[in-house]
Amino acid sequence: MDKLVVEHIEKSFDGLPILTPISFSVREREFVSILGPSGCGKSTLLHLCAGLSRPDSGAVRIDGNDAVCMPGTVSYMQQKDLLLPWCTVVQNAGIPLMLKGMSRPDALGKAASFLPEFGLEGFSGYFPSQLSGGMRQRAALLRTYLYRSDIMLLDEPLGALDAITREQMQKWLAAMIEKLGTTVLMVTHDIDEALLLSDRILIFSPLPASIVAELSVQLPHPRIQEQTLLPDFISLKRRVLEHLSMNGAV
Amino acid sequence: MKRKPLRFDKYIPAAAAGVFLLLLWELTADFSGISSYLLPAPSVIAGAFVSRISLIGFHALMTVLAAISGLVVSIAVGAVLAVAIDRFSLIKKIIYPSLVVSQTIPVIAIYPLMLLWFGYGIIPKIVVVVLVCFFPLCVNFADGLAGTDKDLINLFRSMNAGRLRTFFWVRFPAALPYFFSGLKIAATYSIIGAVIGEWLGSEYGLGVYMLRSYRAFQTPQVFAAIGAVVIISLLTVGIVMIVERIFVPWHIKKGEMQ
Repeated sequence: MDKLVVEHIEKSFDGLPILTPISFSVREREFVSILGPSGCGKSTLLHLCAGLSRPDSGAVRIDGNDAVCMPGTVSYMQQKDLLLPWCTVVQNAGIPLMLKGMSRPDALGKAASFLPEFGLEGFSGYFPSQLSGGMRQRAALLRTYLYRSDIMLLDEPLGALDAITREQMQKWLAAMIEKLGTTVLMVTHDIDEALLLSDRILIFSPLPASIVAELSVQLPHPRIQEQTLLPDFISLKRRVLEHLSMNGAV
Repeated sequence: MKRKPLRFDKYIPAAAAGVFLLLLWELTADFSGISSYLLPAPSVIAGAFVSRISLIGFHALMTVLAAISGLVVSIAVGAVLAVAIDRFSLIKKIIYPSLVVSQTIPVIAIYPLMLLWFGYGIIPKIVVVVLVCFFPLCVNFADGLAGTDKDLINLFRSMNAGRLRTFFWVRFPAALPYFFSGLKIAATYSIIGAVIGEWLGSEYGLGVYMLRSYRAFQTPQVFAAIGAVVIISLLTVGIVMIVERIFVPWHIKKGEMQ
């Protein structure tokens, strides 16, 4: 069953075409990555899917329902962690629950119960400024998850992290998503990250963006960093690089 | 969050420089033979201050009363205007230019008129304080509200938060640091505003005291009153900074880390 369907989406800003007709779909519990050069309109696409802006033409459907300009149908994590600096970890994570009408103590209680799973046990009373980059990202991910657990749009969720933390977080995120059974559409420009996490990769061209290739990633789970050194992984990576360079992206 | 204790050691260089200048002033006044009504020595000023402490204290209290009342009114007016400006662009277009114009009015010119309207009591002083204070408050707060991170607003929009909750959960707290930088400016202006009002026509207050001392050629007393104004202004800003630490600890923390 298709969880998210994007049909012939087009978008331009001030006459500059950003997205030429783009169509794809994401099945339930599938992890799809959009891979492309920086500034190719990937974030614009997620914005449209999250219902935050209107495409010039085309349709977005979530669970079969029209989702164009209907914010609130998916949970959406942007590049920055966007934690409120005046709220503690548990308060930040509990925000989506309170927005959905849960009472404050219930929301905080529920958010607190998820902290261990997200590697934040014992940090519930900490403020974002007291956390490391990786922890902030995990807190933001928990907030995203608590808004809607079945479908998440992730815009370079690990983009701001240093290389070592990033590798740890990739491993953690892969295990987490598999356990939670969440449908994910992730934007990234890190090829290894896309290969390690995804079931399927959509490769975007530079502006105006279009899908130039679609790759299904059939690597064994759980995927760990060492796999990036194995022949299967490398041959897939080579294919991705070929597609990117063919379209002048690399 | 664990609050760091207020630290005063960073003020040591400024205090040392102040002491040095006072010393220089003292020596100049003592040994140059300039008479004390032209250049009173700090020790003479301190003497005048101590000997008339109850009178200066009374006038200072009147000044503080006018300044605080004006500041409170300014906060209320400034905050409401800022929210209105932020919410309705038409109000911004209408009000913003007149806000700027209000700052170009020479208080000296209209004060006699205000005395006719409101009398010699506290009201005209409060009007002057409001006139000089609400502008930095309003403009800073409005800028803070307008400058909220767009991604943060989008995040709340993506969670269907609605305008009101986005305001109270995100934009209002995000604008508080801006509000406080406006308040710090307004707090210093408020004392000076009250003193100017008193100077131009009033019955009580440090401005009145200064004017009378001048007319009696009691220059040490003028300086004693100036000293009182300085002390009160520093205290006011200090109080605002303490309140800021209580209400926006995250901002202070960020500033210290940078």
